Amino acid sequence: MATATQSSRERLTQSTRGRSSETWLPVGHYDPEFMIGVSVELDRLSLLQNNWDSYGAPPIDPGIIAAARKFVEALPENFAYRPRVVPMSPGNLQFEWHHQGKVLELEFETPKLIHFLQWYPQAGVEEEETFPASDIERAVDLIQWFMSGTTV
Amino acid sequence: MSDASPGLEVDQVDDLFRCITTPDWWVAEEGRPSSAAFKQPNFSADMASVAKTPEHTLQRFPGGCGLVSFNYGTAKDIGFIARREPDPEHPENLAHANVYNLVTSGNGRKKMAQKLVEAVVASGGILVRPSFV
Repeated sequence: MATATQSSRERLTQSTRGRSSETWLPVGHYDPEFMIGVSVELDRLSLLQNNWDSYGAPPIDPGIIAAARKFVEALPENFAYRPRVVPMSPGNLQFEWHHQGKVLELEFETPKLIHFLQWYPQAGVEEEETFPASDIERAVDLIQWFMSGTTV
Repeated sequence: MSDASPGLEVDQVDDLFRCITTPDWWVAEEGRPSSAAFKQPNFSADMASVAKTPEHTLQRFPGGCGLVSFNYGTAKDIGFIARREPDPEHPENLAHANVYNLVTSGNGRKKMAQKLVEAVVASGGILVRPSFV
């Protein structure tokens, strides 16, 4: 049985192969440190103490940290910029990607539920919805949307 | 937020000050706050008409925090409700208001927070850029 990671990687490869075999499409972003970089940020968030935001926020839920770590480990390699890993006052977290008014947020509302914001008003995109944290393919689609046409 | 009855609504012509208390809530590369600063079901702000100066608000927070402002009428158009209610941690602060995001689940909450970020930027509401060390 293919893992979610294998499935996502195969899908990325297939989408590239689906075009002319003589044309290489820039579908990714080379960052071999992506996973460890995000993991270090999750470690940092796991150490936040009560009142880390000076407004009385609780520590970040360890179950959400663990779910976010598992999520990142399931993503394909070298296909996206590293997200900002942002703690939220209720004790959860979100991954954020920003580029010139284009925004993608994947917020772990619970260990099992991601609430996303897909925001690019210039292109008429203002979407918000939830999906299971186990649905890696949905997350990959969203991150690929952010990456399309985005160069830093 | 307290268990007491809701406070009086803030005047729509008033501006509200919101402190950016952590570097995680500041998108440095774009020079603006993250929507994470506005995404709670309710968050604290100070009424500018009472606070008078950014320093009034900043003095209660660690050094290096940033401060942004937005017009309450604009925030209300987005869907927020602000009420004059005391801060239990700082009852002496008469400028305090709670800003409520009435969409507590499902669609809308994140869009509202993002729209408020854009309102802050569009109105020139970045009063003090964070300088965390």
